[in-house]
Amino acid sequence: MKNIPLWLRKFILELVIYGLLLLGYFLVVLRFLDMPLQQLFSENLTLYALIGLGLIIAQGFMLDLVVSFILNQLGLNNQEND
Amino acid sequence: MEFPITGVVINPLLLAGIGFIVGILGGFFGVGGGFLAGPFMLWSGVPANFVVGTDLAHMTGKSMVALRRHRIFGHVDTKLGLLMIIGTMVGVEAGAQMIELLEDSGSIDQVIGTTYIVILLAISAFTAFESIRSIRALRNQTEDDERVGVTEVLGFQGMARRVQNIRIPPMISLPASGIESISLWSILIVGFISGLLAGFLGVGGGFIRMPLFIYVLGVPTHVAVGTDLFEIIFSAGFGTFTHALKGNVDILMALVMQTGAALGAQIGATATNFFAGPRIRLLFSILPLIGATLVILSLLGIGGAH
Repeated sequence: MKNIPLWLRKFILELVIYGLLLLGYFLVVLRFLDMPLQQLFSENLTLYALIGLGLIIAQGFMLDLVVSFILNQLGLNNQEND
Repeated sequence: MEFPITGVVINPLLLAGIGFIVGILGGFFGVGGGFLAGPFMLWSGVPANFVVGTDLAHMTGKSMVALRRHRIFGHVDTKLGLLMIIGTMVGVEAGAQMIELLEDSGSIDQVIGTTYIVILLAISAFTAFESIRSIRALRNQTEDDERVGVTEVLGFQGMARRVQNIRIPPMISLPASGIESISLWSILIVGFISGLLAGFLGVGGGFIRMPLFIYVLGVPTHVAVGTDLFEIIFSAGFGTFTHALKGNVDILMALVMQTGAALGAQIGATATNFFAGPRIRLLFSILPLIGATLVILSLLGIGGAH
C-alpha cells in the first residue's frame, strides 16, 4: 500500500465512497422522492422548478461535503501534488 | 429503474456514468459538456424534450462541486465572472433574436450547423497550434523559470496585450487573474461575444468562453477554468429554472446524473493541479473536434446530436 501514490489511494477511496453512496442513494432517496416529485410535476410546475433547483444544489453540496469530510478524517485531503 | 416523470426505464448506473464522464470534462476544462451529454442522453433513451433541461440541471450541481474545488486552489476570479455575466446575458438575448430573424429564411439548421462547425474547428486548430508552441517554450525555459515554478506560457500573447492596452475608462484591476489594469468595456464585449455565440448556437458556451478568457483577456488557464465554472452555475441554473417551468426537466434523472458528475467534477478539478496550462489547453483542443463531429453527423442525419 505504501508503494501506491497518495493521489491514486485518494482516487480509489473516492470511488469506493461514491459507490456506497450511490447504492444507498438509489435504494432509499430516489424511492422516497419519485412519487412526491411526480405529483408536484403534474400539479405545480413553478414549485417543482424551485424545489428541483434546490435539490440539485443541496445534493451537490452534500456529496462534496461528505466525501471531503471522510477524506479529511483519513488524512488524505491534503491538496499537494503528491 | 423507471423514472415516473418522463415515464421511461433507464439503468441509473448508465446515467451516473454519463454524469461521471461529463463531470471530469467540466472539472478539468471548465465546460458544461452539454455538447457531449446531450447525444449520450438521447442514445440512452431520455426523451428529446427532456434532454436539454435535465442536462442543464445536473450541470448546475456539478459545476458547484467543481467550483468549490477550484476555489480551494485559488482558481476563481469572482469579479471577472460577475462582470462577464452582464455581457453574456445581453449577448445571449441578441443571439436568440438573430435566430428568430433567420427562421424566416427557412435554412436555419444549415446556417447554424455550418457556423458551429467553422467556429469549433477554428477554436480547436488555434488552441492546438498555440499550446504546442507553449509546450515547446516551456521545455526551453531557463533554470530561473524552473526555480520559480513557471508553468503558464502563452504561445500567442499579442491579442491579450493589445486588449489590456486599450485605455477606455473605467479601468479596473483583476488581482485574482494577475491583470493590473483592463478596460471594463473589454470584459463586457468579450462577455457579449461569448453570449452571442452561445445564444445563436444554442449551447452553454464554455468552450467558446475558455479560449476568450485566455487569449483575449490574458487570464491564466487555471483561473479561466474556475471562472468559467462560476459563470456556468448562473447560466445553467437560470436555464434549469426556465426549462423546468416548461415541464422539460426530470429532476430525478438530473439527481442520478449528478451522483456520477460530482465524483467526476472533483477528479477533474483536482487533476488540473497535475498539468501545466499549455497541456490543459492542448487537451482542451480535442473537445471542439468532438463537438464538430457530432454536428456533422447530425447534419448528415446520422445521429441525433446537437
